[in-house]
Amino acid sequence: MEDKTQTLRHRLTAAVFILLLGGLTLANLLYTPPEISQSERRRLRTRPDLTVSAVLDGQYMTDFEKYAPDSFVLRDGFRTVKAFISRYVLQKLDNSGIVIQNDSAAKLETLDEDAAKRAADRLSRLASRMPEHARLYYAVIPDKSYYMDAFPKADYDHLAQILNVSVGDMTTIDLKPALTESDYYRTDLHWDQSRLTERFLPYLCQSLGITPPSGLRAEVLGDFQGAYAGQAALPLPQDSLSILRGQGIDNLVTRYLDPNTGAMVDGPVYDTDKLASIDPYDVFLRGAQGLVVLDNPDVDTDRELVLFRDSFGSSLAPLLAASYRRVTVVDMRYFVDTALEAYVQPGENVDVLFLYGLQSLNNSDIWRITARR
Amino acid sequence: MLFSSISFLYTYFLPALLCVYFIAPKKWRNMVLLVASLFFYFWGERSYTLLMLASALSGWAGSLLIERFRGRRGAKAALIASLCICFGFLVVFKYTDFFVSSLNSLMRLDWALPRLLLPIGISFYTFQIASYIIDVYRGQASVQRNFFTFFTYVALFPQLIAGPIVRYTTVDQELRERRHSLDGFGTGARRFVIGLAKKVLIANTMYELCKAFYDTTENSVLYAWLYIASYALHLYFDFSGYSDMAIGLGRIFGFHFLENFEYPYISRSVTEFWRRWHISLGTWFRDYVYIPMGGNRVSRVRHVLNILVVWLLTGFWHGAGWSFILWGLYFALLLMLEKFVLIRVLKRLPRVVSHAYTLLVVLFSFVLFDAPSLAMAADRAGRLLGIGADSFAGQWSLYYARSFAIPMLIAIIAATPLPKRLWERWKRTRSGSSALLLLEPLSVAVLLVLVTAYLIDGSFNPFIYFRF
Repeated sequence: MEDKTQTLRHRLTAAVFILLLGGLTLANLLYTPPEISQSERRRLRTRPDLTVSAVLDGQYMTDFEKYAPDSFVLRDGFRTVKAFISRYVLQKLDNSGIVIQNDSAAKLETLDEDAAKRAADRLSRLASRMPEHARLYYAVIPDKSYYMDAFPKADYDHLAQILNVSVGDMTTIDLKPALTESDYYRTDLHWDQSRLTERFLPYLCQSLGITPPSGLRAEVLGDFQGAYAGQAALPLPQDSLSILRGQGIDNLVTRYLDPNTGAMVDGPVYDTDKLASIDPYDVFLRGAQGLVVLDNPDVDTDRELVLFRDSFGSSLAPLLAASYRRVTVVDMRYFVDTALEAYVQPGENVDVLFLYGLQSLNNSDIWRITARR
Repeated sequence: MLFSSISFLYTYFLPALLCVYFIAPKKWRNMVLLVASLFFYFWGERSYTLLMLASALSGWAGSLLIERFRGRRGAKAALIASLCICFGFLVVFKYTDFFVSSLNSLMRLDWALPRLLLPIGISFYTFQIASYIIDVYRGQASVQRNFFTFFTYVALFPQLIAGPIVRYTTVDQELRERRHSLDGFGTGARRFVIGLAKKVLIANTMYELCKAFYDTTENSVLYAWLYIASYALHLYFDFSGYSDMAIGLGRIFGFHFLENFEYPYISRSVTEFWRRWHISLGTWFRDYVYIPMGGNRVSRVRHVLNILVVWLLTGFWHGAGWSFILWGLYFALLLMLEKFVLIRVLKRLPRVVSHAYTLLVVLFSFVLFDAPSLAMAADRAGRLLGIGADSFAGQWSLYYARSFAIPMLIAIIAATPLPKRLWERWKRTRSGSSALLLLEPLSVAVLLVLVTAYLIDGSFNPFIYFRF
């Protein structure tokens, strides 16, 4: 009797295995995956082209191994299953480095010392290209996780020590006291622009020796899910995306470098159509741009700012532009340093601010900085 | 190609192979397996497929010559020649850089390292071919005159790249004639899925903690202990999981491979540990090196030498580096210590003490095994003892201790026979037998879904023994 029960059990197991394996295989055969993952904010890999050379050099196999999980049916559902098990069953404090506390998601960030040294060297090289009379500043934007109680912090003081070896002649602006967790979006790594006027902007302006703008009002564009919402793969409350308007911002003349033609093209400081795009944060200065110039015709000063930045700078630059005649915003991920002198030609009264988050400093290898001069 | 990959499980290797294999007439099934196995290997190794072919050819030709000249000097010559070719490939592709760099250091030379890429699985299939040749010479295995059948044995994808090391005698009969049944399929499927779960759900999770340790700047005692515990669990579940998958897949296709792991972490001595860990490798060295050298039926001095040779080779098999040789010699010393001095003591000690002793010496061995250099091994071992550490604990080690508490507890329990014993005990009851009728297939389904979820979410999924 026991043998019969065992045999039946094994046969049921075989049937379940075949059904599951076969069912998912068939589903994948019939499924047409999307090109873009909205939740992950990236293009999903497409089926690689089957060519003799790609097979012989192994590239086809490598690409196919990446394509297979990307194109799997119910991909988002499976990712949520994994996140649920990780967080609620195994009680892990993070899922693939994403932590959630009080419905707010952040990424655990550690300091990569070697990367920080390379970043410091690159900052130093950029600084050497600026006019000698320029006032040089650098500031590191703390990651949101720094302000979350339950999680370990990256050592920003040690980072400052590393950076100071190469950029110690610049004025350091310590931003840690100027921000709190509530200044960041719940589901995104970035800060909420509408929250910056309360404490951060006055603090930064004081450090730069400029007057912060006043009378700004927040205009709510709509709700959105930030980058971490998709990475967390668990339901999180949506964020509200607001932009600041008012004197000093509304009349800004904004020009963007067209990478195809090399010409500067007019555009809005806030591209509100981007709210419906894959990354709503691109509302600010149209997201990934190599060079943006903001001219303020209303301000009574000849002071200029050159802002070397990452994506945090997109939402900050319009606020700073309210206090400068011109703000030139440079993102070295999309702008080659050999073109610096052609496009960045500040006058006699200029501040240069290097403003980066820890994630950018950990990944400065992608900055388009050519060999040392 | 990895078993624990979407391309293997769903798109489309395994489903396609199962369809073709079970639809094909029985006399074609070995050929189906051979073609699938070659495709499987080619997917990852491309031109090295020819190397495997060459190695298999030399073994097969050698066995024919041994049979041809049986009883005469020519048989021994054929044995030696085919073993030299077989092991020659292994030495060239795996150990050349080691020998050249060692010579450079020793004799202050500056020879360039050839930097040959290591063919995946070469250590496994070389040992399989060698065991076949020797068994034929000894008259313990019958010659396989059909090269394709022999090549099927060598290239059989379930155990090709990560073992277990399957002796030809184990599968000889089944290569000629094997029985397939839904019952057997279900048994194999269950074992395969358990292996998948061990690898993807446990081993890969433990590796996250190892990786955090590799990348950290925190220098604390706690972090060092978290690392070595997670590494030990990662290594065990990675390797035993892969063995389970191999055994399960073999069963699906009608083969019965021998067990490769028997809960090694419950051992009460190093001697016992090596009877439970990577059993197929241990028995290989026992049958083809230790016993032919005389084993323990020789003088004490020769016995010690035999142990040292076996363990030097065992260490060297695991990696082309001095740390692996030292690792092997470390176990040689421990085994001799147990054999000649401690054996009576260990038997009298309370179980928990002998168990703790075994775990400790094994954990310290893994420090040497995993470290990229001897200096790093010394540093990490020191940290375990508080030497060179900045503190007992830091923010990251405390964080990871909290975060991995439950996964580690699950892994520790799963590394013991307790879950299996409880399952078996419950199965023997009437209520358990009825419940498990549905619960077991359901569990397999749940595990497969979870594995799929983890594979889709993660992309970093290497098998640690692939360097062999």
